[in-house]
Amino acid sequence: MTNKLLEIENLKLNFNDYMGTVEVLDKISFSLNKNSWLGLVGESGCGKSVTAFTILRLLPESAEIKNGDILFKEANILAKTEKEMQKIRGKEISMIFQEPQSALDPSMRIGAHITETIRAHRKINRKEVKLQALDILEKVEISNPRYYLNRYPHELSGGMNQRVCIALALVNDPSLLIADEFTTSLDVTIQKRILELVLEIQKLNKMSVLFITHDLALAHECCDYIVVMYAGQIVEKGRADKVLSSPAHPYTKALLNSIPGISKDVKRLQSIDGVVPNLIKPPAGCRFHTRCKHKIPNICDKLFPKVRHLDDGHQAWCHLL
Amino acid sequence: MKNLIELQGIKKYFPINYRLFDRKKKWVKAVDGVDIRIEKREVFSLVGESGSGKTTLANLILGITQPTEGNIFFKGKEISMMKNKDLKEFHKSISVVFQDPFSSLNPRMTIMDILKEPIMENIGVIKNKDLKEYINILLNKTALREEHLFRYAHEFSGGQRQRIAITRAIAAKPEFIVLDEPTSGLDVSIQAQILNLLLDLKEKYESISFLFISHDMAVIRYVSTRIAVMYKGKIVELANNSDLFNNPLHPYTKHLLESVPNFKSINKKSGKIKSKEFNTFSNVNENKNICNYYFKCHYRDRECLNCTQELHFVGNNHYTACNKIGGNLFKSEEIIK
Repeated sequence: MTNKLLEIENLKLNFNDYMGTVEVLDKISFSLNKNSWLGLVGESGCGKSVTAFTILRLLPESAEIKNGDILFKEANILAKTEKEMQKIRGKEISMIFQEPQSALDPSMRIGAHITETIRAHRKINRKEVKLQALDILEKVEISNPRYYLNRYPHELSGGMNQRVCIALALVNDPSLLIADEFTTSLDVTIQKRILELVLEIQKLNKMSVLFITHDLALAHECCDYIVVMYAGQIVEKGRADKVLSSPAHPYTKALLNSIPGISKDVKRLQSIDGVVPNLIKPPAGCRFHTRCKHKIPNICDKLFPKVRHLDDGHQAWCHLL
Repeated sequence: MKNLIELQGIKKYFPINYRLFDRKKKWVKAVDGVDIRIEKREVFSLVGESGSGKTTLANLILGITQPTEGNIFFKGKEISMMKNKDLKEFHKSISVVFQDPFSSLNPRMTIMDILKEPIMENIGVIKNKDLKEYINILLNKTALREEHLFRYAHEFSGGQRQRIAITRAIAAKPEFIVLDEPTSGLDVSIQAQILNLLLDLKEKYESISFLFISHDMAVIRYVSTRIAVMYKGKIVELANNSDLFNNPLHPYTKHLLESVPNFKSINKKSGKIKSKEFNTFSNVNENKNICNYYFKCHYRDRECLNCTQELHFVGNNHYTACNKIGGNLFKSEEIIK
């Protein structure tokens, strides 16, 4: 019995666009243990959300999985039928998104959202459903849940709606929660409370969380492990405190140096010249070489680096190491 | 006179109309009594969360909306009393950069057109040759290239568009630029580019003042000279940059600072960070004089049920609307004064 809840092995994903084939994900491999937080970090367009959708098999028609395996509880997700996936989504694996107002149906009351989610996966009578709905709303710290059961999403604030989304994700006791930038649209003080809430629940339920974010400081607050992505590839991964305190890859380093902080010394922020490459004809070799200050000509632009094993599970893909 | 912009007693109330025959009219007090002076050559920042009134305040300064009460002065002259010549000068001297780089650039205009517009409007008609030269100088300042001039906005990334918006903002040689969350929609490494650009402009253009609005404390720390913290339409604290971060004197400012995720957080995953939960439903009747922050405040006491929430001076250019923190400091400063 392995401790690994989720294992992604060598995933390669393309989108077949009218403009060409977009190589969205390349050689993506990482695993997530039970009762653990993994942060998938990177800037926009790096492929982190797409990875999440691949796990849930919610990709558009144009998507083509060229290679790779995704094992969830030791079963191959990529081999499952749509019907089998429907049993998994919302029950074994749940997801929360960035914009709660887009995730909720504006024509349905909060209570209706919750009962629908419960009944999609369990045979349960009306009375019991209502009790469970009230219970889950209390768990996400919505005071006076009876009042909110009958409200519509537009009557709640952003923070409260996000709590409702969290309630929907947790009501069927999933083993894996995928959280895609779920605090980005919230005020910083609300963000803190919501994060603490999910942390508590994660500990209580011994759930695993795949936390997608572009905010490295936030990732530091809650993640055990971190995977840094750039242009569809993994550039570095390892224990969060190790990677964030001793980053090995030039991209991770540059990213950390571009984040303003509130400490006493205010250093000049480092920006990364250039833009993210077009993934229709992605750069050969290491995809970061077009923007890397330390690029070695004829090596970085021709060969994809082999993995460098730094200590304690810390890995990076860079010719300089 | 060192004050470029001055706001006195500014209020902006929006009426809520529930029913036709409501006895008492209800108001959303978006800006509720604000006094500010913005000096020449500084970056004055407004920080606050959603609903604090910072964008409304920016709109009032820009003249996009009119205040319900209060006065706005530009170089000592009251704006609402200004006539043609002064008003024109006022409009010429202010420009703005908005949050969304996708909707703030006209999709039907080339970059050249976008940059030409404020120049022609505010500097006047100039010969093509001179215009070209001037635009090239501008492009240089914001690291854009000549070939960009003939493209349309949709051909650029978010960060590039924001740089175009900033180039447009400096084109007419303004004295004052309002930036409303200019980097909120951008990736962190691009944000760094834009913030560095702003700091460089501040150095190169000695005579420009900036009003920088953001909800991000770390960004504010990086760019500001002075900072005003807003909460529910009022300024709760006003201080120099390092003073605000090293010595916050309002409970809300402290709360904001504690909420910023950072790399030094010792409470990581220990569950020890437990912010107090306060019930938002309260039995206290609509007490008109209760402090706006009462229900979330960790420092509150009975006096707070009846508080003027006025900013008072505590020394060293530092003002706070609350005397529950560093109360002694406040008193001793008074004696020294």
